[in-house]
Amino acid sequence: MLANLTGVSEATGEGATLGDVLQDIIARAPGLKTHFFDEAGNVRRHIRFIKNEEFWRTADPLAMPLSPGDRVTVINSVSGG
Amino acid sequence: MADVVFVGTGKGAVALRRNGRGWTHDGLELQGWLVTAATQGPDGRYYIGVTSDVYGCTVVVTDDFKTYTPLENGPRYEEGERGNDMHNRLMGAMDPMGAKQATQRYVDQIWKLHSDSKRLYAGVSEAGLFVSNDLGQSWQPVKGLNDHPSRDNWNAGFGGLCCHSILTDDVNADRLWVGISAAGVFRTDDGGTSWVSANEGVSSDEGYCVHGLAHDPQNAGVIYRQDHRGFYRSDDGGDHWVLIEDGLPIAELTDKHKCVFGFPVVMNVETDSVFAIPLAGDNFRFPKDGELAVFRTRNKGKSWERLDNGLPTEFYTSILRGAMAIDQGPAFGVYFGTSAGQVYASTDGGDTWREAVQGLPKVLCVESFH
Repeated sequence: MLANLTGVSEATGEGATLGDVLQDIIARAPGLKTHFFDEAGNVRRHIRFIKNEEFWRTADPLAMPLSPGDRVTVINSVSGG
Repeated sequence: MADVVFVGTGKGAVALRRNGRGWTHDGLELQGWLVTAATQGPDGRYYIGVTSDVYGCTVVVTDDFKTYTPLENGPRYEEGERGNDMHNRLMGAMDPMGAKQATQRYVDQIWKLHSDSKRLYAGVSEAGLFVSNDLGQSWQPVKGLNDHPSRDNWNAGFGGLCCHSILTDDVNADRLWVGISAAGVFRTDDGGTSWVSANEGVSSDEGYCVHGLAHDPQNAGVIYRQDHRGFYRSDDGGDHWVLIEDGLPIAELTDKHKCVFGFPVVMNVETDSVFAIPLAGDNFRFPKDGELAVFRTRNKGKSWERLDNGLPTEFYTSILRGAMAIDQGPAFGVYFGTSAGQVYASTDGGDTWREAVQGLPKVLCVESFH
């Protein structure tokens, strides 16, 4: 859905944590900031992250450690019924 | 007559173009996004307000309604600005995941984009006004309104506390009006530094619940107002309002108050024609007896004509406040979308109507572009 808007489905960034990588990407694509962070500076709460094949469920996803070659997938939190 | 009728919905947008006597489009763009507002900017490009519960809201720009580019900055409150408790409770109630349960003031939707010859304006919820002097590259909060001394007493409407209507004055650039549900109409005469409440004569329950505004920017002080509690006109820039309901269907509200209830109001300035779509009260929100009809006045509301040629008679859904648009010029079209995903179009000033498209998601905004 975010790719529908931005036209970009993949981006590469550098850093030791997800927070670092997002800041690196946002520095080059400032329009993404509003989509990842709310006015209080928090990661939007309906966004979920998958590191490689692993759901990342910590309270602070920005602390997710990353190594070169890791792949993080951004998805909507979805429920149904 | 419009080249494009842009229709924003709860899950994307379509750009309608005339095709003989009918209308056609190239499919749903911006899929998944609430498309809530649109305007043509001073540069001739089209600016579109989009919102997602997941990814927040922003403004995208297009030249052709096929390729949309997000702006780097949308209207956004500053960190630490205190939000309206009632608005946050309402948003939280519609958001069981709890993303909006907070005391912070958030921009959670762009309700209105408006342009004059130099600037872009964005009316947002939580209610506030932002202005851009650089074609949307940056947005400045209009603090005289956003931090108005009465703000603590503003009540949220059913859709939240939202700034949904913006009127500007072509003759006096320092004068503009906004409509906020449910705080009423506010006017500035000094370019946004200070704002006065402009609601005298309007029936009030818990706040002034304005639903829609229309005027001629060249004769800006004459304003038409569809309110929760009646249909009004002001001849003095909003200082005083009078009911103009003769010939309009009267509804009974949940508190037994009797008045005209509805949402959109649009005006063709060349013919001094004003259009409204009254509904059967705040508890039903569909046309009286299910008979869809548009009403037109050509004498400033002294009388109204019922226009239903081509409109359905078994119609039990609503028309939202942003979901009606009108062309300017002596021969003009009128367009509106429904919460059931139809768009109706008239190319003869409202005399006759045709269904232009059906099967869309809930229609949130309609704009005609030339």
